[in-house]
Amino acid sequence: MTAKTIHLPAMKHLVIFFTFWSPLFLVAVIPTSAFALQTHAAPEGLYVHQIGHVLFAIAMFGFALRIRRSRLNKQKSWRLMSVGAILFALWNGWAFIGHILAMLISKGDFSRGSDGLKSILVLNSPIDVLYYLFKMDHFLCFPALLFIYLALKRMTAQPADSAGSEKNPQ
Amino acid sequence: MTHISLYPLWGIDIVGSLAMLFLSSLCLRQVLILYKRDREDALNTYLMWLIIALFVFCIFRSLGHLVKHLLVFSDHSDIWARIAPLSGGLNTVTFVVIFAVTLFFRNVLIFMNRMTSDRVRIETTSRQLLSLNQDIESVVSDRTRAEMALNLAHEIRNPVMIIGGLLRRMYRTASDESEQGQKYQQEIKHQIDQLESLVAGLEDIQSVSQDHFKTVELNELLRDAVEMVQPEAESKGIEMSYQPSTTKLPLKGNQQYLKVALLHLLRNGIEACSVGNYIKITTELSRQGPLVLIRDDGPGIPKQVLKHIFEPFYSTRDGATGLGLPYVRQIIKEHRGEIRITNNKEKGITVELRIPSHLNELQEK
Repeated sequence: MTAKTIHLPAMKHLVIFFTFWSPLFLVAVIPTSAFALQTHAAPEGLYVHQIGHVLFAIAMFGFALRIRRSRLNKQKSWRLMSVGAILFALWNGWAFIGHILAMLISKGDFSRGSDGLKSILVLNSPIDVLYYLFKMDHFLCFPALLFIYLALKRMTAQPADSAGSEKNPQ
Repeated sequence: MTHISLYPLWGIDIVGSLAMLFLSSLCLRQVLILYKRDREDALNTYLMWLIIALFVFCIFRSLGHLVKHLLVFSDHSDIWARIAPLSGGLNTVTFVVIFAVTLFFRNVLIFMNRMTSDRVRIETTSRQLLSLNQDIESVVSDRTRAEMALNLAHEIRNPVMIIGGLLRRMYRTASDESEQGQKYQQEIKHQIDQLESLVAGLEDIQSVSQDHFKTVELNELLRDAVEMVQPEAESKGIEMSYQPSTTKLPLKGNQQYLKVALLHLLRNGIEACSVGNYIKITTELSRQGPLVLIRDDGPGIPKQVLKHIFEPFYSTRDGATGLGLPYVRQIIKEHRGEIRITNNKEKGITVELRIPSHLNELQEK
Protein backbone atom coordinates (compact mmCIF):
# COMPACT_ATOMS: atom_id res chain seq x y z
CA MET A 1 0.00 0.00 0.00
CA THR A 2 1.38 3.34 -0.92
CA ALA A 3 0.45 6.62 0.80
CA LYS A 4 -0.86 9.47 -1.42
CA THR A 5 1.57 12.37 -1.61
CA ILE A 6 1.02 15.89 -2.88
CA HIS A 7 3.61 17.02 -5.33
CA LEU A 8 5.58 20.07 -4.24
CA PRO A 9 4.96 22.27 -7.29
CA ALA A 10 1.16 21.82 -6.97
CA MET A 11 1.34 22.78 -3.28
CA LYS A 12 3.24 25.91 -4.18
CA HIS A 13 0.54 26.99 -6.63
CA LEU A 14 -2.19 26.51 -4.00
CA VAL A 15 -0.32 28.68 -1.47
CA ILE A 16 0.19 31.45 -4.03
CA PHE A 17 -3.49 31.28 -5.06
CA PHE A 18 -4.82 31.62 -1.51
CA THR A 19 -2.29 34.29 -0.52
CA PHE A 20 -3.47 36.57 -3.33
CA TRP A 21 -7.16 35.80 -3.56
CA SER A 22 -8.17 35.37 0.12
CA PRO A 23 -8.05 39.12 1.02
CA LEU A 24 -10.27 39.95 -1.95
CA PHE A 25 -12.64 37.16 -1.00
CA LEU A 26 -12.86 38.53 2.56
CA VAL A 27 -13.61 42.05 1.37
CA ALA A 28 -16.33 40.70 -0.84
CA VAL A 29 -18.09 38.71 1.87
CA ILE A 30 -18.01 41.33 4.69
CA PRO A 31 -21.32 43.19 4.14
CA THR A 32 -20.40 46.40 6.02
CA SER A 33 -17.57 47.14 3.65
CA ALA A 34 -19.10 46.28 0.28
CA PHE A 35 -17.04 48.69 -1.84
CA ALA A 36 -17.91 46.86 -5.05
CA LEU A 37 -21.25 48.61 -5.44
CA GLN A 38 -21.70 52.33 -5.15
CA THR A 39 -25.04 53.54 -3.86
CA HIS A 40 -26.93 56.18 -5.87
CA ALA A 41 -28.56 58.73 -3.63
CA ALA A 42 -31.47 60.92 -4.78
CA PRO A 43 -29.54 64.05 -5.93
CA GLU A 44 -27.46 61.96 -8.35
CA GLY A 45 -30.38 61.75 -10.78
CA LEU A 46 -30.63 65.54 -10.90
CA TYR A 47 -26.86 65.89 -11.34
CA VAL A 48 -26.87 63.41 -14.22
CA HIS A 49 -29.82 65.22 -15.79
CA GLN A 50 -28.02 68.56 -15.48
CA ILE A 51 -24.88 67.05 -17.01
CA GLY A 52 -27.16 65.79 -19.78
CA HIS A 53 -28.37 69.36 -20.38
CA VAL A 54 -24.77 70.58 -20.57
CA LEU A 55 -23.89 67.85 -23.09
CA PHE A 56 -27.02 68.59 -25.13
CA ALA A 57 -26.13 72.31 -25.16
CA ILE A 58 -22.52 71.62 -26.21
CA ALA A 59 -23.75 69.26 -28.93
CA MET A 60 -26.17 71.83 -30.34
CA PHE A 61 -23.67 74.71 -30.19
CA GLY A 62 -21.05 72.53 -31.88
CA PHE A 63 -23.55 71.45 -34.53
CA ALA A 64 -24.51 75.07 -35.28
CA LEU A 65 -20.88 76.18 -35.33
CA ARG A 66 -19.85 73.45 -37.75
CA ILE A 67 -22.71 74.35 -40.07
CA ARG A 68 -21.69 78.03 -39.97
CA ARG A 69 -18.07 77.20 -40.76
CA SER A 70 -18.83 74.72 -43.52
CA ARG A 71 -20.01 75.23 -47.08
CA LEU A 72 -23.46 74.09 -45.91
CA ASN A 73 -23.97 77.61 -44.60
CA LYS A 74 -24.47 78.75 -48.20
CA GLN A 75 -27.82 76.98 -48.19
CA LYS A 76 -30.73 78.64 -46.43
CA SER A 77 -32.04 75.30 -45.19
CA TRP A 78 -28.84 74.67 -43.26
CA ARG A 79 -28.81 78.21 -41.90
CA LEU A 80 -32.30 77.56 -40.53
CA MET A 81 -31.04 74.30 -39.06
CA SER A 82 -28.21 76.13 -37.30
CA VAL A 83 -30.67 78.68 -35.84
CA GLY A 84 -32.75 75.78 -34.51
CA ALA A 85 -29.64 74.21 -32.97
CA ILE A 86 -28.63 77.50 -31.30
CA LEU A 87 -32.14 77.87 -29.84
CA PHE A 88 -31.96 74.29 -28.52
CA ALA A 89 -28.60 75.10 -26.93
CA LEU A 90 -30.14 78.18 -25.28
CA TRP A 91 -33.11 76.10 -24.15
CA ASN A 92 -30.70 73.74 -22.39
CA GLY A 93 -29.18 76.66 -20.52
CA TRP A 94 -32.69 77.88 -19.69
CA ALA A 95 -33.77 74.44 -18.44
CA PHE A 96 -30.52 74.06 -16.48
CA ILE A 97 -31.28 77.28 -14.56
CA GLY A 98 -34.93 76.22 -14.22
CA HIS A 99 -33.89 72.97 -12.49
CA ILE A 100 -31.64 74.89 -10.07
CA LEU A 101 -34.49 77.29 -9.28
CA ALA A 102 -36.84 74.35 -8.70
CA MET A 103 -34.32 73.05 -6.19
CA LEU A 104 -34.03 76.41 -4.44
CA ILE A 105 -37.71 77.25 -4.24
CA SER A 106 -39.43 76.49 -0.95
CA LYS A 107 -42.23 73.90 -0.98
CA GLY A 108 -44.19 76.26 1.27
CA ASP A 109 -44.45 78.81 -1.52
CA PHE A 110 -47.05 76.63 -3.23
CA SER A 111 -50.52 76.82 -1.75
CA ARG A 112 -53.77 75.06 -2.54
CA GLY A 113 -56.44 76.90 -4.44
CA SER A 114 -60.20 76.42 -4.31
CA ASP A 115 -59.84 73.40 -6.63
CA GLY A 116 -57.83 71.55 -4.01
CA LEU A 117 -54.71 71.54 -6.19
CA LYS A 118 -51.50 73.35 -5.34
CA SER A 119 -52.21 75.84 -8.08
CA ILE A 120 -51.05 79.06 -6.45
CA LEU A 121 -47.49 80.29 -6.15
CA VAL A 122 -46.79 82.83 -3.44
CA LEU A 123 -44.16 85.22 -4.69
CA ASN A 124 -42.10 85.58 -1.52
CA SER A 125 -38.73 86.18 -3.18
CA PRO A 126 -37.14 86.88 -6.59
CA ILE A 127 -36.49 83.12 -6.83
CA ASP A 128 -40.28 82.52 -6.97
CA VAL A 129 -40.64 85.05 -9.81
CA LEU A 130 -37.68 83.59 -11.70
CA TYR A 131 -39.02 80.07 -11.15
CA TYR A 132 -42.33 81.10 -12.72
CA LEU A 133 -40.59 82.69 -15.71
CA PHE A 134 -38.12 79.86 -16.27
CA LYS A 135 -40.93 77.31 -16.22
CA MET A 136 -42.06 78.70 -19.58
CA ASP A 137 -39.27 76.95 -21.46
CA HIS A 138 -41.58 76.02 -24.35
CA PHE A 139 -41.06 79.56 -25.64
CA LEU A 140 -37.53 78.45 -26.54
CA CYS A 141 -37.75 74.76 -27.36
CA PHE A 142 -40.83 75.10 -29.60
CA PRO A 143 -39.23 77.73 -31.90
CA ALA A 144 -36.05 75.61 -31.91
CA LEU A 145 -37.96 72.62 -33.25
CA LEU A 146 -39.93 74.89 -35.61
CA PHE A 147 -36.70 76.14 -37.22
CA ILE A 148 -35.48 72.57 -37.62
CA TYR A 149 -38.81 71.62 -39.21
CA LEU A 150 -38.60 74.60 -41.61
CA ALA A 151 -35.05 73.59 -42.51
CA LEU A 152 -36.12 70.03 -43.28
CA LYS A 153 -39.15 71.19 -45.24
CA ARG A 154 -36.91 73.41 -47.34
CA MET A 155 -34.50 70.54 -47.93
CA THR A 156 -37.27 68.22 -49.11
CA ALA A 157 -38.64 70.97 -51.38
CA GLN A 158 -35.25 71.32 -53.10
CA PRO A 159 -34.21 69.05 -55.98
CA ALA A 160 -32.58 65.77 -54.91
CA ASP A 161 -29.11 66.94 -55.96
CA SER A 162 -28.98 69.91 -53.62
CA ALA A 163 -31.13 68.94 -50.62
CA GLY A 164 -29.08 67.54 -47.79
CA SER A 165 -25.79 67.08 -49.49
CA GLU A 166 -23.19 69.62 -50.56
CA LYS A 167 -23.48 68.67 -54.19
CA ASN A 168 -24.75 72.10 -55.03
CA PRO A 169 -23.89 74.43 -52.19
CA GLN A 170 -24.80 77.56 -54.17
CA MET B 1 -47.82 89.22 -0.44
CA THR B 2 -48.40 88.52 -4.17
CA HIS B 3 -50.02 85.31 -5.34
CA ILE B 4 -49.92 84.03 -8.86
CA SER B 5 -51.94 81.22 -10.40
CA LEU B 6 -50.05 78.29 -11.88
CA TYR B 7 -52.85 77.59 -14.39
CA PRO B 8 -51.36 79.79 -17.18
CA LEU B 9 -48.06 77.99 -16.65
CA TRP B 10 -49.73 74.58 -16.86
CA GLY B 11 -51.71 75.73 -19.91
CA ILE B 12 -48.53 76.76 -21.71
CA ASP B 13 -46.88 73.49 -20.70
CA ILE B 14 -49.76 71.33 -22.00
CA VAL B 15 -50.18 73.25 -25.25
CA GLY B 16 -46.39 73.42 -25.69
CA SER B 17 -46.01 69.66 -25.10
CA LEU B 18 -48.78 68.83 -27.58
CA ALA B 19 -47.23 71.21 -30.14
CA MET B 20 -43.82 69.61 -29.63
CA LEU B 21 -45.30 66.15 -30.20
CA PHE B 22 -46.96 67.32 -33.40
CA LEU B 23 -43.93 69.22 -34.71
CA SER B 24 -41.46 66.44 -33.92
CA SER B 25 -43.69 64.00 -35.86
CA LEU B 26 -43.63 66.39 -38.83
CA CYS B 27 -39.84 66.64 -38.57
CA LEU B 28 -39.58 62.85 -38.58
CA ARG B 29 -41.82 62.66 -41.64
CA GLN B 30 -39.74 65.24 -43.52
CA VAL B 31 -36.43 63.61 -42.69
CA LEU B 32 -37.74 60.20 -43.78
CA ILE B 33 -38.80 61.71 -47.12
CA LEU B 34 -35.29 63.16 -47.45
CA TYR B 35 -33.65 59.88 -46.52
CA LYS B 36 -35.79 57.77 -48.87
CA ARG B 37 -34.93 60.13 -51.70
CA ASP B 38 -31.24 59.23 -51.48
CA ARG B 39 -30.39 56.48 -49.02
CA GLU B 40 -26.71 56.57 -49.99
CA ASP B 41 -26.22 60.25 -49.09
CA ALA B 42 -24.16 60.36 -45.88
CA LEU B 43 -25.56 63.73 -44.83
CA ASN B 44 -29.18 62.61 -45.28
CA THR B 45 -28.45 59.49 -43.25
CA TYR B 46 -26.81 61.55 -40.54
CA LEU B 47 -29.74 63.99 -40.45
CA MET B 48 -32.14 61.07 -40.12
CA TRP B 49 -30.34 59.76 -37.03
CA LEU B 50 -30.19 63.22 -35.46
CA ILE B 51 -33.88 63.91 -36.06
CA ILE B 52 -34.84 60.45 -34.75
CA ALA B 53 -32.88 61.23 -31.55
CA LEU B 54 -34.62 64.63 -31.28
CA PHE B 55 -37.98 62.98 -31.97
CA VAL B 56 -37.46 60.43 -29.17
CA PHE B 57 -36.41 63.26 -26.85
CA CYS B 58 -39.57 65.23 -27.70
CA ILE B 59 -41.77 62.16 -27.22
CA PHE B 60 -40.32 61.30 -23.79
CA ARG B 61 -40.34 64.91 -22.63
CA SER B 62 -43.80 65.85 -23.87
CA LEU B 63 -45.45 62.60 -22.80
CA GLY B 64 -43.78 62.93 -19.39
CA HIS B 65 -45.21 66.44 -18.97
CA LEU B 66 -48.69 65.44 -20.17
CA VAL B 67 -48.84 62.32 -17.99
CA LYS B 68 -47.72 64.39 -15.02
CA HIS B 69 -50.53 66.91 -15.52
CA LEU B 70 -53.04 64.14 -16.09
CA LEU B 71 -52.06 62.30 -12.89
CA VAL B 72 -51.88 65.46 -10.76
CA PHE B 73 -55.28 66.69 -11.98
CA SER B 74 -56.82 63.27 -11.34
CA ASP B 75 -55.36 63.28 -7.82
CA HIS B 76 -52.83 60.52 -8.52
CA SER B 77 -49.71 62.44 -7.57
CA ASP B 78 -48.36 59.36 -5.80
CA ILE B 79 -48.27 57.42 -9.08
CA TRP B 80 -46.43 60.32 -10.74
CA ALA B 81 -43.92 60.30 -7.87
CA ARG B 82 -43.10 56.70 -8.83
CA ILE B 83 -42.98 57.33 -12.60
CA ALA B 84 -41.09 60.65 -12.43
CA PRO B 85 -37.56 59.15 -11.98
CA LEU B 86 -38.09 56.87 -15.00
CA SER B 87 -39.37 59.74 -17.14
CA GLY B 88 -36.46 61.97 -16.09
CA GLY B 89 -33.98 59.13 -16.63
CA LEU B 90 -35.23 58.46 -20.16
CA ASN B 91 -35.03 62.18 -20.86
CA THR B 92 -31.41 62.23 -19.76
CA VAL B 93 -30.59 59.22 -21.93
CA THR B 94 -31.96 61.04 -24.99
CA PHE B 95 -29.71 64.04 -24.17
CA VAL B 96 -26.68 61.78 -24.18
CA VAL B 97 -27.81 60.06 -27.40
CA ILE B 98 -28.21 63.45 -29.12
CA PHE B 99 -24.75 64.43 -27.88
CA ALA B 100 -23.26 61.18 -29.19
CA VAL B 101 -24.96 61.52 -32.59
CA THR B 102 -23.78 65.13 -32.94
CA LEU B 103 -20.18 64.05 -32.33
CA PHE B 104 -20.23 62.33 -35.71
CA PHE B 105 -21.25 65.49 -37.58
CA ARG B 106 -17.63 66.56 -37.99
CA ASN B 107 -16.71 63.18 -39.48
CA VAL B 108 -19.71 63.31 -41.81
CA LEU B 109 -18.65 66.77 -43.02
CA ILE B 110 -15.06 65.60 -43.59
CA PHE B 111 -16.42 62.59 -45.46
CA MET B 112 -18.73 64.77 -47.56
CA ASN B 113 -15.97 67.29 -48.33
CA ARG B 114 -13.69 64.49 -49.40
CA MET B 115 -16.41 63.05 -51.60
CA THR B 116 -17.10 66.47 -53.12
CA SER B 117 -13.44 67.14 -53.90
CA ASP B 118 -13.00 63.61 -55.28
CA ARG B 119 -16.04 64.06 -57.48
CA VAL B 120 -14.74 67.39 -58.80
CA ARG B 121 -11.37 65.77 -59.50
CA ILE B 122 -13.00 62.83 -61.30
CA GLU B 123 -15.14 65.19 -63.37
CA THR B 124 -12.10 67.28 -64.30
CA THR B 125 -10.07 64.20 -65.21
CA SER B 126 -12.98 62.82 -67.21
CA ARG B 127 -13.29 66.11 -69.12
CA GLN B 128 -9.54 66.11 -69.77
CA LEU B 129 -9.66 62.50 -70.93
CA LEU B 130 -12.49 63.30 -73.29
CA SER B 131 -10.56 66.26 -74.69
CA LEU B 132 -7.43 64.13 -75.03
CA ASN B 133 -9.42 61.43 -76.84
CA GLN B 134 -10.69 64.05 -79.25
CA ASP B 135 -7.12 65.30 -79.71
CA ILE B 136 -5.86 61.80 -80.39
CA GLU B 137 -8.73 61.12 -82.80
CA SER B 138 -7.89 64.29 -84.66
CA VAL B 139 -4.19 63.37 -84.78
CA VAL B 140 -4.95 59.83 -85.99
CA SER B 141 -7.39 61.10 -88.61
CA ASP B 142 -4.85 63.65 -89.93
CA ARG B 143 -2.13 61.01 -90.05
CA THR B 144 -4.32 58.44 -91.77
CA ARG B 145 -5.49 60.93 -94.37
CA ALA B 146 -1.96 62.07 -95.10
CA GLU B 147 -0.63 58.53 -95.27
CA MET B 148 -3.40 57.35 -97.61
CA ALA B 149 -2.90 60.34 -99.86
CA LEU B 150 0.85 59.78 -100.00
CA ASN B 151 0.42 56.09 -100.77
CA LEU B 152 -2.08 56.84 -103.50
CA ALA B 153 0.09 59.54 -104.97
CA HIS B 154 3.09 57.25 -104.91
CA GLU B 155 1.22 54.41 -106.59
CA ILE B 156 -0.28 56.41 -109.44
CA ARG B 157 2.40 59.01 -109.96
CA ASN B 158 4.71 56.92 -112.18
CA PRO B 159 2.14 55.43 -114.58
CA VAL B 160 0.43 58.79 -114.97
CA MET B 161 3.73 60.56 -115.67
CA ILE B 162 4.73 57.95 -118.25
CA ILE B 163 1.36 58.06 -120.00
CA GLY B 164 1.45 61.88 -119.95
CA GLY B 165 4.95 62.01 -121.42
CA LEU B 166 4.14 59.52 -124.18
CA LEU B 167 0.95 61.29 -125.14
CA ARG B 168 2.67 64.66 -125.33
CA ARG B 169 5.28 63.19 -127.61
CA MET B 170 2.58 61.59 -129.76
CA TYR B 171 0.73 64.89 -129.91
CA ARG B 172 3.84 66.77 -131.11
CA THR B 173 4.87 64.19 -133.77
CA ALA B 174 1.49 63.14 -135.17
CA SER B 175 0.81 66.19 -137.41
CA ASP B 176 -0.89 64.27 -140.22
CA GLU B 177 -3.60 62.81 -138.00
CA SER B 178 -7.19 63.46 -138.84
CA GLU B 179 -9.06 66.27 -137.14
CA GLN B 180 -11.08 63.77 -135.10
CA GLY B 181 -7.91 61.99 -133.91
CA GLN B 182 -6.35 65.30 -132.81
CA LYS B 183 -9.50 66.16 -130.90
CA TYR B 184 -9.30 62.86 -129.00
CA GLN B 185 -5.61 63.33 -128.27
CA GLN B 186 -6.32 66.82 -126.93
CA GLU B 187 -9.02 65.47 -124.68
CA ILE B 188 -6.70 62.69 -123.36
CA LYS B 189 -3.96 65.28 -122.72
CA HIS B 190 -6.42 67.45 -120.81
CA GLN B 191 -7.45 64.50 -118.63
CA ILE B 192 -3.81 63.55 -118.01
CA ASP B 193 -3.02 67.13 -116.92
CA GLN B 194 -5.84 66.90 -114.44
CA LEU B 195 -4.54 63.57 -113.10
CA GLU B 196 -1.05 65.05 -112.66
CA SER B 197 -2.34 68.02 -110.74
CA LEU B 198 -4.38 65.62 -108.57
CA VAL B 199 -1.21 63.66 -107.73
CA ALA B 200 0.56 66.93 -106.87
CA GLY B 201 -2.39 67.86 -104.67
CA LEU B 202 -2.23 64.53 -102.83
CA GLU B 203 1.47 65.03 -102.17
CA ASP B 204 0.74 68.47 -100.75
CA ILE B 205 -1.64 67.10 -98.11
CA GLN B 206 1.28 66.52 -95.76
CA SER B 207 2.30 70.16 -96.00
CA VAL B 208 -1.32 71.32 -95.79
CA SER B 209 -1.47 69.76 -92.29
CA GLN B 210 1.07 72.39 -91.29
CA ASP B 211 -1.77 74.88 -91.59
CA HIS B 212 -3.10 73.49 -88.30
CA PHE B 213 -0.15 75.16 -86.60
CA LYS B 214 -1.38 78.00 -84.46
CA THR B 215 0.00 80.07 -81.62
CA VAL B 216 0.30 77.84 -78.54
CA GLU B 217 1.42 78.94 -75.09
CA LEU B 218 3.83 76.22 -73.97
CA ASN B 219 3.54 76.95 -70.23
CA GLU B 220 -0.25 76.61 -70.36
CA LEU B 221 -0.04 73.46 -72.45
CA LEU B 222 2.43 71.89 -70.05
CA ARG B 223 0.32 72.90 -67.03
CA ASP B 224 -2.68 71.08 -68.54
CA ALA B 225 -0.57 68.00 -69.19
CA VAL B 226 0.89 68.04 -65.65
CA GLU B 227 -2.59 68.42 -64.12
CA MET B 228 -3.76 65.42 -66.10
CA VAL B 229 -1.05 63.08 -64.89
CA GLN B 230 -0.66 64.51 -61.37
CA PRO B 231 -3.23 62.11 -59.76
CA GLU B 232 -1.40 59.20 -61.41
CA ALA B 233 1.90 60.37 -59.89
CA GLU B 234 0.30 60.96 -56.46
CA SER B 235 -1.22 57.50 -56.42
CA LYS B 236 2.26 56.03 -57.03
CA GLY B 237 3.79 58.20 -54.29
CA ILE B 238 5.83 60.24 -56.78
CA GLU B 239 6.34 63.92 -56.11
CA MET B 240 5.63 65.85 -59.29
CA SER B 241 6.41 69.57 -59.43
CA TYR B 242 6.06 72.06 -62.24
CA GLN B 243 7.90 75.35 -62.39
CA PRO B 244 7.01 77.36 -65.48
CA SER B 245 9.20 80.19 -66.76
CA THR B 246 8.35 83.68 -65.56
CA THR B 247 7.73 84.79 -69.13
CA LYS B 248 5.14 83.31 -71.44
CA LEU B 249 6.41 80.87 -74.07
CA PRO B 250 4.29 81.29 -77.19
CA LEU B 251 5.20 79.15 -80.19
CA LYS B 252 3.76 78.11 -83.50
CA GLY B 253 2.65 74.52 -83.28
CA ASN B 254 -0.09 71.98 -83.24
CA GLN B 255 -1.64 71.96 -79.76
CA GLN B 256 -2.95 68.39 -79.99
CA TYR B 257 0.31 66.89 -81.23
CA LEU B 258 2.41 68.72 -78.65
CA LYS B 259 0.04 67.78 -75.82
CA VAL B 260 0.15 64.11 -76.80
CA ALA B 261 3.97 64.26 -76.92
CA LEU B 262 4.26 65.95 -73.52
CA LEU B 263 1.79 63.54 -71.91
CA HIS B 264 3.72 60.63 -73.31
CA LEU B 265 6.99 61.90 -71.85
CA LEU B 266 5.40 62.56 -68.43
CA ARG B 267 3.72 59.13 -68.36
CA ASN B 268 7.02 57.48 -69.26
CA GLY B 269 8.58 59.25 -66.26
CA ILE B 270 5.79 58.09 -63.93
CA GLU B 271 6.08 54.51 -65.15
CA ALA B 272 9.84 54.49 -64.60
CA CYS B 273 9.76 56.09 -61.14
CA SER B 274 8.51 54.58 -57.90
CA VAL B 275 7.52 55.67 -54.36
CA GLY B 276 9.64 58.54 -53.04
CA ASN B 277 10.98 59.59 -56.46
CA TYR B 278 10.41 63.02 -57.91
CA ILE B 279 9.70 64.42 -61.36
CA LYS B 280 10.57 68.09 -61.83
CA ILE B 281 9.30 69.91 -64.86
CA THR B 282 10.67 73.33 -65.72
CA THR B 283 10.42 75.62 -68.70
CA GLU B 284 12.60 78.52 -69.78
CA LEU B 285 13.30 80.71 -72.76
CA SER B 286 16.69 79.77 -74.18
CA ARG B 287 18.51 81.35 -77.15
CA GLN B 288 17.16 78.63 -79.44
CA GLY B 289 13.63 79.21 -78.20
CA PRO B 290 11.35 77.63 -75.58
CA LEU B 291 12.97 74.83 -73.60
CA VAL B 292 11.28 72.14 -71.52
CA LEU B 293 13.25 70.09 -68.99
CA ILE B 294 11.81 67.00 -67.35
CA ARG B 295 14.09 65.63 -64.65
CA ASP B 296 13.55 62.64 -62.42
CA ASP B 297 15.53 60.67 -59.89
CA GLY B 298 14.29 57.28 -61.07
CA PRO B 299 16.44 54.29 -62.08
CA GLY B 300 17.70 55.95 -65.28
CA ILE B 301 18.22 54.22 -68.64
CA PRO B 302 21.08 51.78 -69.36
CA LYS B 303 23.53 53.02 -72.01
CA GLN B 304 22.78 50.18 -74.46
CA VAL B 305 19.05 50.98 -74.26
CA LEU B 306 19.53 54.75 -74.51
CA LYS B 307 21.17 54.35 -77.94
CA HIS B 308 18.05 52.74 -79.40
CA ILE B 309 15.42 54.61 -77.46
CA PHE B 310 14.05 56.50 -80.47
CA GLU B 311 14.04 53.49 -82.78
CA PRO B 312 10.56 52.23 -83.74
CA PHE B 313 9.48 48.92 -82.17
CA TYR B 314 12.37 49.02 -79.70
CA SER B 315 11.08 48.42 -76.18
CA THR B 316 12.36 46.86 -72.98
CA ARG B 317 8.90 46.65 -71.40
CA ASP B 318 6.49 43.77 -71.90
CA GLY B 319 3.38 44.74 -73.83
CA ALA B 320 4.81 48.07 -75.00
CA THR B 321 4.66 48.84 -78.72
CA GLY B 322 7.95 50.65 -78.82
CA LEU B 323 6.34 53.38 -80.90
CA GLY B 324 5.84 55.95 -78.13
CA LEU B 325 9.15 57.76 -78.12
CA PRO B 326 9.66 57.56 -81.91
CA TYR B 327 6.24 59.16 -82.25
CA VAL B 328 7.19 61.88 -79.75
CA ARG B 329 10.37 62.56 -81.71
CA GLN B 330 8.38 62.68 -84.96
CA ILE B 331 6.07 65.31 -83.48
CA ILE B 332 8.99 67.38 -82.20
CA LYS B 333 10.73 67.07 -85.60
CA GLU B 334 7.59 68.31 -87.36
CA HIS B 335 7.87 71.37 -85.13
CA ARG B 336 11.53 71.71 -86.21
CA GLY B 337 12.43 70.99 -82.61
CA GLU B 338 14.89 68.74 -80.84
CA ILE B 339 14.52 66.10 -78.14
CA ARG B 340 17.37 64.71 -76.07
CA ILE B 341 17.28 62.14 -73.28
CA THR B 342 20.33 61.86 -71.06
CA ASN B 343 21.13 60.07 -67.82
CA ASN B 344 21.80 62.38 -64.88
CA LYS B 345 25.18 62.25 -63.14
CA GLU B 346 23.64 60.93 -59.94
CA LYS B 347 20.27 59.33 -60.55
CA GLY B 348 17.48 59.41 -63.08
CA ILE B 349 17.22 61.04 -66.48
CA THR B 350 16.66 64.46 -68.02
CA VAL B 351 14.49 64.97 -71.05
CA GLU B 352 15.40 68.13 -72.92
CA LEU B 353 12.87 69.48 -75.38
CA ARG B 354 13.65 72.47 -77.58
CA ILE B 355 10.91 73.79 -79.79
CA PRO B 356 11.51 76.87 -81.95
CA SER B 357 8.77 79.41 -81.67
CA HIS B 358 8.30 79.94 -85.49
CA LEU B 359 6.25 82.99 -84.62
CA ASN B 360 7.62 85.04 -87.50
CA GLU B 361 6.45 82.42 -89.99
CA LEU B 362 2.98 82.55 -88.50
CA GLN B 363 2.90 86.34 -88.73
CA GLU B 364 4.07 86.19 -92.36
CA LYS B 365 1.24 83.82 -93.17
